[in-house]
Amino acid sequence: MAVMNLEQLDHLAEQGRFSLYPNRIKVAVQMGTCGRAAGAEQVYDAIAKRLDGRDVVLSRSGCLGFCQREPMVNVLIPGHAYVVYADLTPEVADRLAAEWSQGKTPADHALMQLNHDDFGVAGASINKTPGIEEYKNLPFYRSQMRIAMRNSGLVEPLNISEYIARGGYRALHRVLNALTPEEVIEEIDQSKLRGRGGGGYLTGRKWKYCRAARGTPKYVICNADEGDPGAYMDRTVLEGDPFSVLEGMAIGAYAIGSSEGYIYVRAEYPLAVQTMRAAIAEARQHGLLGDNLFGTDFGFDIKISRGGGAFVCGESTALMASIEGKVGEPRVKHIHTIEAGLHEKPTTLNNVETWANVPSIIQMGAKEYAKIGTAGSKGTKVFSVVGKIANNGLVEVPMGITLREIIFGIGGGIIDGKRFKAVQTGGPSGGCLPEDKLDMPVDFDELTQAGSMMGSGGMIVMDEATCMVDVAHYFLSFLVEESCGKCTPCREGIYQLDKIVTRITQGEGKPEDLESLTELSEVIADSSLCALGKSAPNPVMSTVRYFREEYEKHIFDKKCPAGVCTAMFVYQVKSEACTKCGICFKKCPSDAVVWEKGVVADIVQAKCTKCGICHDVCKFDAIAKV
Amino acid sequence: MENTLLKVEIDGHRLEVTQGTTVLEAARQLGIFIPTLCYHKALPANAACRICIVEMSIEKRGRAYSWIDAACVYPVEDGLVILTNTPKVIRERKLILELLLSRAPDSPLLKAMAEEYRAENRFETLDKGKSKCILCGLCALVCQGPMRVGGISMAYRGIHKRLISPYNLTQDICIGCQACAWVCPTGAIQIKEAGTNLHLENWDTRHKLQNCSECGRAFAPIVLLEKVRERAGKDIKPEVFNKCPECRRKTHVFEEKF
Repeated sequence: MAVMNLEQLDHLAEQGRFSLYPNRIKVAVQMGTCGRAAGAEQVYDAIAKRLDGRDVVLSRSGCLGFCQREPMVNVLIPGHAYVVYADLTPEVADRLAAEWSQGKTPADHALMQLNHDDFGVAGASINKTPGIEEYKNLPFYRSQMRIAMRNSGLVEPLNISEYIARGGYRALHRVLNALTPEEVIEEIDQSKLRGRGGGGYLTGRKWKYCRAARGTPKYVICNADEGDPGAYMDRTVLEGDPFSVLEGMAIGAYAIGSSEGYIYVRAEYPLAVQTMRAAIAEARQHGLLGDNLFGTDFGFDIKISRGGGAFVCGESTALMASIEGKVGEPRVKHIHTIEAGLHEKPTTLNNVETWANVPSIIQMGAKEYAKIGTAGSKGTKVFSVVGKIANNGLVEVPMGITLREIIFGIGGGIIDGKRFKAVQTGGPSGGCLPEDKLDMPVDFDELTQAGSMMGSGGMIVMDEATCMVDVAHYFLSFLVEESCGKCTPCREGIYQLDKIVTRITQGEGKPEDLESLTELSEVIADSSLCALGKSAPNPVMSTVRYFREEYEKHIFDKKCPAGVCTAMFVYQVKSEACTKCGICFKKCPSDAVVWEKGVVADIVQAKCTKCGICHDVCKFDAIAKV
Repeated sequence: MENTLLKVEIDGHRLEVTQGTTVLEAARQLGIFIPTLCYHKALPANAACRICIVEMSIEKRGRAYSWIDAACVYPVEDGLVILTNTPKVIRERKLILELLLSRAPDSPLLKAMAEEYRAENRFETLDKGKSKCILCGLCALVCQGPMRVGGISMAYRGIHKRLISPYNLTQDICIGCQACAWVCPTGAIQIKEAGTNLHLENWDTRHKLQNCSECGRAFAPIVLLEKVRERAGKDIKPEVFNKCPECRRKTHVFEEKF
């Protein structure tokens, strides 16, 4: 049934509230792609089997962001706060489910308790469960502030009434009934929201120009072609809170005067595609997509376009070419896509996170939103913090927070007691920042100034066992494959950069290599056609800038200080430390270890493939990289 | 708006041009030479080779901006100052040339340009020396655009990029017009003619040539003549198509209408 007015919205919200806080025990398994990868499906099955025939509501939700501790399950005992259980296996889940069904929430495996109030939307007043840490006190969540991810992990993704219960579609209702398109644009402009896909262009200004541009129809596009290695915030929003994106796009469409939208989502995100398809159908059924939204004469609908796995299709012009069915290659943007984009018509393209922010900005007001963040970057940003860090996951923090707080406060520091070495921000064409940049406030301009970039929010943390030349090599080899190959500097230049860096990692670096790298980087950055090429030298430039001596050690001393580049060391047995146990002999996959009982082991270099297994299995540190 | 003249300065020379004029066109109006490879007047600018980069600067809202960009596509803005030959431009152009040389070291045009810029062939690539192609894409553009055939297109990504016939198979949609070879800046398209056989080696496509009904010389692919006849309509006498250009001129020059 179509929702026509506020009363009907309230009615759905009431249903949603009851679904979020039923008067029965409720168990919700977090089943985003990350959760499933950690075994959430098996956990769900175990719980379903145990709860079969009992008076318990079993449902699914998206991801709460704490991916390190998945699979996670939210448990509600009526009258209490949700208790979130973590690190579950089917066996543990089965045992715990038996207790939950009796109204008990034991502290075993309990990560935290959370009230929906904690996420800034009013719920019922609720009793705390003693002995379980509160959400706000957890280091991982303490300095987080959730706007784009306000619902992810809390609501059932495809239950539109739960989304409405948490304030959904009120922004759209207000926009359509009380604001002119110009007023909406003014509001977004005032909020100083900048595009979260990487460019950081002011969203309000983009909308203003697009509204003013001549030509019809106009299009809105949601860029969900999230291709950066190690970045998955857009996927999580799509899977955990699809309606926030749909509502944001509808508001944007009204503002610029469009009635047709596209979500360009990569085919490698099957669950996100499936969720968005279902969410679009659900929204249509409720009259929240289609003709005459809320009984007004504004109509808007969305189609899904799936990407074929090209990184470059995250670039706006390549993305539009791809939607049109052409080869996904960028074109020059001297005439902006806001004037001539998809099918040469005015087009507004924003990324998933930007769209998800829009309804919240309308609801909280631009003034409130602009209070969050720094002078040049307002609001919050979701980062996917991954790598050699204790708490892998998605964190949404106010702009201006320091890298140190993200990595050591929220992230819990480096694993295995190792030292921090660098953090790579902004995806493959971002840069690596060293330890002395840790106290830098994170915002668009600071990161760019330091030679990296915000990008879409990937953050890869590296420890002292990482070789920075090897890191540059990794990102370059990614970019060599993902350059579309249209313009010379990007196609040929990155390939040459990669060749030089590869040579350095193989111990064949030449004294003039550093100069060649700088020279090539400068030309690629200056003369490439699109932003992929222009930012592609960043991994090289930033590592040369901050870790120059590491390059020099590789080139002049033929040594890899981190012990990563296998061409520059051999494994040798330290006879004084060897206890003659023979474990290296037993584990070596290439028969390179000579050992007999009571004899010190020896490694035959000709056979050794430097896989490092002997080094890892030796309990006495008797195998050294020399 | 469309009729306003924009003031532009190129290497110290001032000029006023209409809206939509590119930097390259403006420079040519002044007789200033900017090298190009993937630019062809008859085709939309692809901006792929980047050899035509120049330094641009402009003052906007009290701030000075300066950057490097391709002259062939950049539309002139009012107050734009362009430098086509600064040491930076020359240095970057030289490097781009060296990158192109590594891909197509045997192209006579590239060799000549390399001499001018003192560029060396110092980089290695996947298929060094195998081809003269610099992947500028002009052949595909002319085939898909003005010729309305689509017998060539870009395939694969990045360093693996190639110009191929549909599905990389011996194709039957080529009309043998050879416009691809005509627009190719580096002479990368190999066409062999032997008797009445025409062979486009790059795409292993063969055509039979029509013999001139007057002099007997083989002069154009039969499929091409058919295509031209189709497009020309019925006004032109059919026998015109069987004559080579020279004989056509001789026999039909005094007719008012073919």
